[in-house]
Formats: sequence, structure tokens, C-alpha cells
Amino acid sequence: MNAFTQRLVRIEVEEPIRIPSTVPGEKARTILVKVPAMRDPKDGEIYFGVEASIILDKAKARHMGVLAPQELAELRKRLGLTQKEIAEVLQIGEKSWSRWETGREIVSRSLNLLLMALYEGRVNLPWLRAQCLQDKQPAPAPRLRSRGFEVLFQQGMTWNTLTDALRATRSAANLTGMHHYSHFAIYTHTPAMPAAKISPPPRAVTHSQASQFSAVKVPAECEELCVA
Amino acid sequence: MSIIIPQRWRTDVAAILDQAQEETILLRKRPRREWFNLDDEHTEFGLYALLADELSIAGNLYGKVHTDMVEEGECYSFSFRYRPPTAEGEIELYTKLNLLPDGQVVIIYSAHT
Repeated sequence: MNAFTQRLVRIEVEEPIRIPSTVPGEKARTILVKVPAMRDPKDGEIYFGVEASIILDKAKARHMGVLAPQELAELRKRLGLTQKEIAEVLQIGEKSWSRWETGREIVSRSLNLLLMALYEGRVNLPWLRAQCLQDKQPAPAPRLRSRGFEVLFQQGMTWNTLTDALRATRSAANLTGMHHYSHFAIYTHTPAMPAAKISPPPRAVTHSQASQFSAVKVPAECEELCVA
Repeated sequence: MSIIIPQRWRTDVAAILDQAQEETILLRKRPRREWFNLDDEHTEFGLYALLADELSIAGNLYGKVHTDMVEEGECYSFSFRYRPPTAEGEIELYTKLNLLPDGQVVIIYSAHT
């Protein structure tokens, strides 16, 4: 032990912390936080230890609505991941995670939403890993219910050739003045089906809507799309 | 007069600041407030990490030795360039650190421009 640290007297003080605003141009506000400190009776100097730093950084993070460095470390350890592994799952650089966890930088506000969901258990690691894998793999073909489509796919038809075929069928029907009534049911739970412009999601589309089929992006919640 | 800060001191102080264990760092009230006034996004652990990083850079680090401190120990001050999180440019930060005789505690006396 040092003679200096032995003579310090434990006290409690209120320290100001500045909370930056998320509104551009708006000034930071200052709040007061009670923290443990030490006073040197010799000259009255006040010192803060790591304990106070943790309290002050946590208070700042809480008022900013972001996770504190210690909470990020706690989250990573709870998930049983190394810094490299969590960076991979979140699809960020390892250095970024390290900077946030060590308090070098305040965590990115956009990613903080996801981290908060993880921290509070509203999102779990398997789900996050599944998203990560999905992003790395090529989009799977839509799962089709219609027997006709299954056969076509077994014969090597791809999603693109299928939509081409539908377009061709429609064109032929238009040219001959006839409606094409082949019914196809398509499950759209895969990311291969793009995001939707139709609201509410259709259970079935009419012939005229079908003519826009290739341009229409179908939402994930749209279970079945019947092209008539 | 500027001197080369000893590598042994740099290594010991950097390790303490990097690990930031309880009862190993004493930050004076004034440098704490000065550090926070530099940038609204500054954190206390950010200061410890920044100083640890600077002490760990390759090559010589030049500064001044202080033998007149009230507190016993080995004290050096030095300046370095640093870019605060929300600033557009770099600033020159001056810091003064004391490694107490047991080699376990660092006092941060200064952290300002």
C-alpha cells in the first residue's frame, strides 16, 4: 500500500455529466450523479476511482439510451462469444466492437437498437446467427406448393425462368385474346421474394395484376400468391 | 527539458490504464471535468483507453519528468495529437501521470489541451 492512498478519505460527491442531444444543433444537457470519491486531507484534492468511472459512464449511457461499455462486455460474455465472434455475428469490424466495449467510443446508435434487444432477451443468438447466415448464402428459391411447379423445378426450372415462363404465357394469352387460368400457389416465406409494394398483401391477384407480376415484390407475410 | 519516457514506466502505466481494475486509477476532479468539456461524447473509460493506447505506441515517447510532486512516485507528462469523437480536427492533449511506488496505482493529474 502507498502512504498516499492510505491517507485518502472516502466521501460521496455529485459530479456533472454532459448528455449529448440526438437533435442536430441542440446543446448537450448536464445532469448530476452521486459517486464515491476520495479526498486528500492534506490538500483537499478530490480523486475518483474506477468505481466512480463505471457509475458515471453507465449514467451517461443510460441517459443517451445506449448500452454502457460494461454492459456490452457483460452481454458478450453472457452469449459466450469472443470479441471476434460477436463482431462476425453483428457483421461489424472486430475493432469497432473492441472500441465500444473498452469505452474508447460510444456504441453506434443504429446498432444499439439491436444490441438492446439482445441485452433484454427480445432477440436471441440463434436468430441473429440465422440472419447472419442468410445474408452470406445466396437466396433460396421460393418454396412452391403447386405440384405443377414442383415438377417444373425438378426439371431444372429456376425462379427467373419461371417468371419468364409466366410472362410468356400471359403474353400469349393476351395475343390470342384469351385468359390464362392456370392456378399456381407460391409460398413466399423466403428472401428470394422481394419486399412488397402491395398493401394489404393479396391472397390472389387478378389477371391484370398478374401482368405486373415480375415487377411486384411480395411481402413475407403473404402466404400464397395465385397467379391466374 | 524533453526526455524519452522510460519504456518500463510506459508499459506498467499502460497496463494499469488498459485493465482499469478497481483501486488502480485515481483521476483528479479537475482533469475529469476538463476531459468531459473537450467532447460531449467522451467517457471516463475512453480517457483511460486513450492514454493506454498512446503509451503503447511504437517508438520513443517524449515528455517531462516531474520530481516535485507532493505524492510520491514516478511522474511524467507528455502531449499527443488526438481527434475527439465529434470533432472535425485533431487537438493536442496534454497529460500528466504518476505511477505510485508500489507500481499498482496511477494518478491522472491532467488531461487537457
